[in-house]
Amino acid sequence: MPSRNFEDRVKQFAEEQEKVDAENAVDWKAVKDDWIKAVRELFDQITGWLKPLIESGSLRAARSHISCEEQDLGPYKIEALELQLASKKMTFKPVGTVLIGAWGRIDVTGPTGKAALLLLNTDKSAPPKERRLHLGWFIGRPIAAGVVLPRTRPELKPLTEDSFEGLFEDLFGI
Amino acid sequence: MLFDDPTSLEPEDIVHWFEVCAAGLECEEREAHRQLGTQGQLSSTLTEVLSVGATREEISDYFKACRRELEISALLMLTASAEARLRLDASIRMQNQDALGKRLKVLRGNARSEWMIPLYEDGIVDAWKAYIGSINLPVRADRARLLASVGRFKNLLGVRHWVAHGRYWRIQRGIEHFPPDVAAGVVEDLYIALRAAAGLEGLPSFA
Repeated sequence: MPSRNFEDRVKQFAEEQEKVDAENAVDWKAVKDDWIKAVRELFDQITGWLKPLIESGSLRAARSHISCEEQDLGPYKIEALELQLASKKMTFKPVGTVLIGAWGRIDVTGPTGKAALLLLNTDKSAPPKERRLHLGWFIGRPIAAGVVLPRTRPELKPLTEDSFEGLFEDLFGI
Repeated sequence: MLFDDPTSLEPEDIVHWFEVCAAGLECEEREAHRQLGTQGQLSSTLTEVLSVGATREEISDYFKACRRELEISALLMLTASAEARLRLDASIRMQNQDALGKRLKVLRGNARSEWMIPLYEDGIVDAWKAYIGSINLPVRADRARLLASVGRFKNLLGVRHWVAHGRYWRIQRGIEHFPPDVAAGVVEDLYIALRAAAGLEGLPSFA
């Protein structure tokens, strides 16, 4: 028969542990929804920047849904974007949101090269729970499939209309 | 250091070292996976090798590649330790007047210095093969078994040369044919075969 003190101690420990577990629990559905929304909003922004070219018929933009699967999120559908300039294409393919040091990544492939768009925390001083509230897209170097061996930390440039135009020209070889 | 004395270094010592290093790699991989999606700080070691935005699969691929490099290092150490044993044994054995000792003495005479005696082709291992071929064995299969154990060691040497010379040519067979425990088995079989062959003619045992 366990002593009263022992029972109390175990119960108290269990209650405290449940609180800690609840605080640390990740709402994976919210993570997935936020990620899908961030990609949709980014593509809205990009097609907005390109609107004059699309309306003049110089550029075609096609959005579609692709299947992704991540261990923590399971399978899900997310938007992809394809830009077509004459016979040349540039694709924006979401890779995932459960990553090292980033909240999301889109691999960009054009006729002359590749890049990665990374969704990063813009306020390093934000406490861990609030880091998802301060996010922005950055242009990074492509991350090779297979072995990842950067010689130096990749240079990350905030994604703005100007930096996007630079990326667009670089990857289309304009 | 761990492996300073080639005369007491056994293949299983190298396999055990490999397993300790591989376990360390697994710890680092677990730590990297634990940091996925948390935006936590990676250790400074991992920050140097894992890109921001790396996925679970890319992390696994990186650590798989690290393990393969570790396997290659273990293979190099295994073959190098066998080479040391063969050369040390030969330097003593060439003073003997038996057939094997005489063959080794001729090899020494043809080389400008002891370390320049070839190891395999027309060298120490070929001298052993010639000696095994000359032993009067009642069962033919026994000779074939001894020679096969020596021949399997030659397969390891192809990989050893490729690694030791900086891998500047394309290797025909993949390194995956020789994980450390398999390579250690090949080296152990070589030692056993040479000891058995020496014993058949009453020669001093292989070192």
